[in-house]
Amino acid sequence: MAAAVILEGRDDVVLETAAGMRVTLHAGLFMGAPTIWAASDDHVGDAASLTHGLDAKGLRKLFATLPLATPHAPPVVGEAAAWLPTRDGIVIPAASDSTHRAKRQRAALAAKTVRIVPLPREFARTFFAECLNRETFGDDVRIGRDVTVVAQALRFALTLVAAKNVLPDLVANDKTEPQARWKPVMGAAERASYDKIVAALPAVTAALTPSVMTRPSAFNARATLDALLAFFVDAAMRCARPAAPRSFAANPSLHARWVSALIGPETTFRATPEECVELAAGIATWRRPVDEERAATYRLCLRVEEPRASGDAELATAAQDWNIAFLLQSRTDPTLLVDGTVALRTGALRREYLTALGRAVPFSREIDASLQRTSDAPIGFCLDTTRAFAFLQIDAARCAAADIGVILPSWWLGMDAKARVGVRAAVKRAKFAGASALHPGALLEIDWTIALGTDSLTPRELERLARLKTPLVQLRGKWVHVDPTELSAALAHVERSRRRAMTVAEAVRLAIGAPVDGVPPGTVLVATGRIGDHIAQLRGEKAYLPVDPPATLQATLRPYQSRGFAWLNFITRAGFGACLADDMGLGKTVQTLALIAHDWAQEAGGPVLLVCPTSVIGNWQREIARFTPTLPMHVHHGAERERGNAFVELANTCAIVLTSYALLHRDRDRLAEVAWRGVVLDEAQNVKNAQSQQARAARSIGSGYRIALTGTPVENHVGDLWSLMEFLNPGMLGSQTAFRRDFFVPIHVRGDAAVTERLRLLTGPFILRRHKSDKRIIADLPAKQEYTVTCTLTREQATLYAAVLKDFDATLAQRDSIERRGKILGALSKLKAICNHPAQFAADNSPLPGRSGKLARLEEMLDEILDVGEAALVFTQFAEMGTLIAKRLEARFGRDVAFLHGGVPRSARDRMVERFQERAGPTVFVLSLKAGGSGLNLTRANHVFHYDRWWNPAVENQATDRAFRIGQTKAVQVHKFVCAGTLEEKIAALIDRKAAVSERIVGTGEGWLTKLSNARLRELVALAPEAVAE
Amino acid sequence: MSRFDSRGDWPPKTKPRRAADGIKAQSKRGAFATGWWAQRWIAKLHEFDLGARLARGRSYARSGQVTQIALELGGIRAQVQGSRAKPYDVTIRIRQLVAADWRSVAAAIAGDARLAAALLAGHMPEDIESAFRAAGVSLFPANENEMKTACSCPDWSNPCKHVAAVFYLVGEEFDRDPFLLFVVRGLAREAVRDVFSMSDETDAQDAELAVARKPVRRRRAPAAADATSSDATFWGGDGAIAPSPSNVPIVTSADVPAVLERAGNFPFWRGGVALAEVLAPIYRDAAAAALEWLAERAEQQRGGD
Repeated sequence: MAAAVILEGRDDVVLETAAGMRVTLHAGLFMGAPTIWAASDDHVGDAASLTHGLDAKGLRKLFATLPLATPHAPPVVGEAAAWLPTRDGIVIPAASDSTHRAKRQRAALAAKTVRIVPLPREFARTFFAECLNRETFGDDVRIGRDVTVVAQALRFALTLVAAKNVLPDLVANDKTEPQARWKPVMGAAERASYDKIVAALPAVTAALTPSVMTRPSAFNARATLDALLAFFVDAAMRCARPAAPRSFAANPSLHARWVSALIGPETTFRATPEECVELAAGIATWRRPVDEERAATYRLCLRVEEPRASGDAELATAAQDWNIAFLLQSRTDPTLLVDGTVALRTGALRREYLTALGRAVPFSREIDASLQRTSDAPIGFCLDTTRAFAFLQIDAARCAAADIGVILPSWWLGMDAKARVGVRAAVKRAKFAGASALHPGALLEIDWTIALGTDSLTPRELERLARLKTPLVQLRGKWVHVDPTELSAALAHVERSRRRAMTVAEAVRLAIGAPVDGVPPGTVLVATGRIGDHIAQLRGEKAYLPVDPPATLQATLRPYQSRGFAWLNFITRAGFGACLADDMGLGKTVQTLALIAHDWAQEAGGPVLLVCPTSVIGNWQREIARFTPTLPMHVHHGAERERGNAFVELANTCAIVLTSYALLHRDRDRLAEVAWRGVVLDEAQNVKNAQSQQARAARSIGSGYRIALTGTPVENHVGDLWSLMEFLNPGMLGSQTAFRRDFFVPIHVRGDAAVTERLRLLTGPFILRRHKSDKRIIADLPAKQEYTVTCTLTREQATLYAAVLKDFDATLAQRDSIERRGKILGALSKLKAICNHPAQFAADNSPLPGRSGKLARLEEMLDEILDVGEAALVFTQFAEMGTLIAKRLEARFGRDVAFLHGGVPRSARDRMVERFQERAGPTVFVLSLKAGGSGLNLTRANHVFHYDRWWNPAVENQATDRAFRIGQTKAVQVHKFVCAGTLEEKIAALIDRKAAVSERIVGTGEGWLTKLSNARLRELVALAPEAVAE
Repeated sequence: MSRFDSRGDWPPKTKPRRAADGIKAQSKRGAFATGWWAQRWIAKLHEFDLGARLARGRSYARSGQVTQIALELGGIRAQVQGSRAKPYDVTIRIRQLVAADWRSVAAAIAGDARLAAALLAGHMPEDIESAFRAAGVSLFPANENEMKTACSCPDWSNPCKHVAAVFYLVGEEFDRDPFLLFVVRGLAREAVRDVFSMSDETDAQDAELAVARKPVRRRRAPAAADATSSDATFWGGDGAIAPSPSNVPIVTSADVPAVLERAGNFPFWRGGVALAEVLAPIYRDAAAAALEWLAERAEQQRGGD
């Protein structure tokens, strides 16, 4: 079998390498650009075979399949010499690298000719970005450690660009045309990251030279990294704008030519050697202040000290003694601060201090003025309140941006909510008493005042504020910043809104910091009594009343499920959307069905639209039939689905209408005609991209309530949160652009804790997520749970299935019983293979994605499992299928996936098991039922998948016990895959019915099936219409 | 004889040849310099009664007729494109202060931390002149003997409009970097700091300074030797590498990036539009794109772990 690599991309392309070859991608610096080459793993000991890595065609194909944001020209494949450690003519492979480390000196470098791909600018970024998140490209191409380190260098380069630590430069020598290049500017603050990458950079990154005749110079990690950083920084600066402004293009001067070459793709420009000398001197003079600053060990730090609180507020406000102190701050350790007076007296620090002080002058007029004003040693200066305000507002920000330390009072930074003057909205009392008082639309009377924090200000204090000349004032012993425009807006609002009532829903939004129309931002809500309790309940600070599960629910809810059901009931009744994000296996389905059945029993307020991926429609159908058999349900799916008015009429008689995301978009107009009681999105990560058709369609459907179900840790995916919340509670997180600016970037790039907390306040009330590992949950959970996962067939699978069935009658007609038996087992095997994957049936190495309902479901479920950091075993009885699964999962997740089958020798098998049990080992282990079904200890996994069935509970249980055994610390979930409407489902039902006797009749194999009557067999293998997904 | 009257139309208005890529003054109108020291320099030019030549010189400086300027110890050399094919050579020679003079200046300002800080900040403190006076010298050329100008043009007037043009541009450059005033007065740039921030402390403290520096050097030396090799093996081994945190400082939406603000004007810029003005949007767009990229990576990293 020729090995093939399936890569994820828009179109799947099969990448063929030489038979059975695994290659490792390497990255090196070649002619100033990052360059990729590949070495074969299997033959790395054999020097000659290195040329057998990816050939030109293979490399081109590999790059053609990478998911790229922008289209690009196909890479040019070239040739270079790779200088590798060699002993006795044999390359020392990466695997035994460490053992040879001590002898590295003696292992001489020898050149091998290799095929290379120099990466063009935009492409290099996309390629290495992709490498940051994976270890492999499919199971035959792994990513070398050197590539990963180069990818880290890329990330570092982009932090430099993001912080604008870049300056233009000139690269000129006698050999090439002069080039304008962007170069990184690094100071002490960036050194730590830089040194870390230097230490990790392997020598192989400098192994490439133009030919076997040119030896590389001794490896210099810093020089190599500097060249890589320069490349990445230059590329990042150039992607911003396509070309220089026209005025520059027309200007023939040396400087304009240089600047034009800094912008857009072209780096070279025309200049005589004399001009280059002049330009180089000019650049050096120009950037000298920056270079000197970055080389400095210390910087200036300004500390703003407010006047001490005085008894007389009026006096204190007019205080003249705001002190701005100069300190010397270490750039490597910002906590090291030296007083100006001390620094001036200390020989070694005096010059550092004066220089640092001098550097701050252009960024603050006040500092400048203070140096001119005083005749004493410069250690700080005093300001009156008005100028202190200007200093805080303007100079401090400019100084901070210019890398000058700034220590400001906490109240100024807005970190102390109690020191903020703004509108206070106090809820007086509900206009109506009784149950309707908490209805989301119920009106509340509000007492609008101006307050410091939550304390209303007195008229006298307000009068004082109105007379303020400076926005800084001492109120009740605290310094407060009062923005006059904000204050007048707040006063105007209070004046205007004397009679403005608020709905309960608006009050809740205000309480959690969400925007409310017509109420100034930052308004504080004060509520006691029932509304106060209501808000506290929403925030999870106060327990809400439990609700009895509906009588029609055919299940006993576990305690945490009862809480989840009551929560869903509470949030939806409060007029908000809810996201139930419990770990997989905690029963999101049954909690949701409890809510639907509860509503149905109470008021029958219309149908609920339940949207899920095509792959789980069958599963939902069966779960609904099992848990809430009395609820009228309709499946809106398939080519034969109801359309037009008939659909609307039908939907209105149902409690649940089940449909897929694909149809949610396609039939959105039809679906919008129904007055839905609620819309439930299962696997809500399907709408994480706000611009996707599914997400738009989901948002466009009107309904009484909205629920999202997902097993992924939504709180970790800040970027996806906006789309989810926009579906659940529109407008709560502002516009998407504002969200990216105000939440996404600060949280991810700066790890801003205050912003993270604000986001948690805003979204927390609407997300319920319980973990299996939670102590209160664990007590409720059985140690092992088994689920039947009902999958659907794709159209291709169904067609193949039907084709095999056609010949089935001929098989049954066989007279010879032994031959008949063989033929029947053969036919069953074929059908099972089709249920698994068309590629297993055809054994043709065709592409895998999108062709099997089971494989799609497995990928979706593993997505969730890997997302929460858990590990899984996948059992199949077919070695061929195991190979396909492992290959697909490696491509999909970019991580190592182990596959244990009968052909794996004992020692390799032990190593696999050992690696899997390690914390850092692969997280998915595919095993053939025969080779891995017994004897092994694989307790790192707490999920066991049976991808296909052996129809023998004893054998399956034994396999399950690889994970469910002593040493297992988590609850184990067993997922048994079954294709709806196929022989798999029917045989499963048969075994379940005869559970008591099955042990006896089924024995250890599948032979018993052949003993069934022809009619029975025909019935078993028949294909039911619901089997097919779209 | 109006022809020789300096207030008249002499020199006759000849059209200079356009210099394609000359140095253009970065101030568009009004005074060329803002700092008092640079204005004082230009005032030196105004002391000569040049009449119309001054205006011509200003327009030469603004339109880029000056093609070369070099500031060096004791003077300025420049080339100015006039009406002839070959540019005229302009020189301004300034008497250099000798080492003893500088020592006296240093002594006069020694210990004045405020003066030193202002100088290091790129400001010429107004009272620096008194320090020079105390040393018995002057910062600016005091008389004709201390400054000699020359130009290869046929104009009989010295200074001519070409010299004037150079004067204006040099004034702008002094504005950018006041240390250059010391350079033309004969103090090498490397020595400027020693003169103006010299510690007023005793020798003992100078010794302390030397001692305090030594360990720093010693610490740096092995690092430099280390620089050539990394800890990694040839292929890099297979241990996990911790991703370096992407600690990007708060980026303000300031119009001009701090590095550009710090670097200041480009000396003798020929590009027309100021360098910072052209580059600022590039920085802004590239930084915004990089931030987005980093945030996306961080999200994936978090999700994947």
